[in-house]
Amino acid sequence: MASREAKIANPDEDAILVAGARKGDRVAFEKLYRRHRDRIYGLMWRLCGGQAALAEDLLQEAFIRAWTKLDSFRGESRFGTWLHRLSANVALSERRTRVRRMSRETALLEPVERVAIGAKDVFAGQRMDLEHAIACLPERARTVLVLYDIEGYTHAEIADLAGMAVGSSKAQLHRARKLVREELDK
Amino acid sequence: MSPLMNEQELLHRLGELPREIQPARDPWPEISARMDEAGSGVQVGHSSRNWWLGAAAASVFLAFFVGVLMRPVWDSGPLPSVGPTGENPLAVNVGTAPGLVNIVDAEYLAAFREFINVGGSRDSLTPQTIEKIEMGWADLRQAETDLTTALQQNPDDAFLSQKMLELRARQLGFLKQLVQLDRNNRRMTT
Repeated sequence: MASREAKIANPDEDAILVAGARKGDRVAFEKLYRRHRDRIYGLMWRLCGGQAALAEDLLQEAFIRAWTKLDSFRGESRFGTWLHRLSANVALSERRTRVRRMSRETALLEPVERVAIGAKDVFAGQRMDLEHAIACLPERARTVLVLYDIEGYTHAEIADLAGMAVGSSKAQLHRARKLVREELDK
Repeated sequence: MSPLMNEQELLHRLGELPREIQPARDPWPEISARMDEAGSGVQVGHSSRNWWLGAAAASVFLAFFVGVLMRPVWDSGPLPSVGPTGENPLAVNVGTAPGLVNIVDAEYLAAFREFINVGGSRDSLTPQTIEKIEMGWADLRQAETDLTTALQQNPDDAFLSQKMLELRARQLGFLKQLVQLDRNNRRMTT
């Protein structure tokens, strides 16, 4: 996961902003939010199967959690890595609770989301087919596929986050890939 | 999409998916507002929006102030106990005035600390409930102000001292009810 993390934000700049935010500087925290928002939203959106409202709700929760727990960030890992893992934890622990409280999105992959993902991409159509296939996966299978194949987590990390055995994570991944390929082959 | 796509091709396509997705709407205003209420593990200053904190802090200040003010009164002689049972810490014989002051202040502070947490759930209370809480607290504060003024004018009045102790008991009860209300509310919303 760390190698992918490096693509999005300069860790040195993050460290400066984190130091400010830890002292209560809200502007610094907002800058951290701006730097990492889309990355975290992408994670939430896929884990939620393309439910934009739920993903946004979880995005808010993740950053509130980060704000309240910023003192527990020791700097042993990059802030982006810490935030990503915290966000995955929020998504996995609160997703079901929030689904019950929120009215379900009318459809997966709303047009606005299609624009957001594919506006600059000539392969947008193919990508949306793939996103749709991922969104259609059963929850646990989708969780493992998103975290392992897209976000770069290890099976051990997924097992820890999702509360499952490492073997279950591997089995769910095999199942998820098979289901996605079947969906794409339709 | 080719029906012959194998797993390697799938992995290749998954690897090309963008990690970043821009939300249709920026939720920062909501996050910023919730940061005020959530409290934090960071070293932030007090929020001017947290009316609970201001009210409770003022009450604690008054509690200490009145405690100091009343110490000579309590030290001057015994008063009848406050509550119906001897188990109530507020019903301790006032002949042990310094201990009583400490007990009252300690319990008041403990309730105050929990009371602060209640402020974070203000949004989850109905307007009617908030109005009742605010009115109840305002009544107690008014009684506290009146009694404090009266005691300043008549520091040796045993009846006023007794009433102040009773008021403290009511304030503590009020704070504890708020804490219970908050706990029940959290149970209902989780």
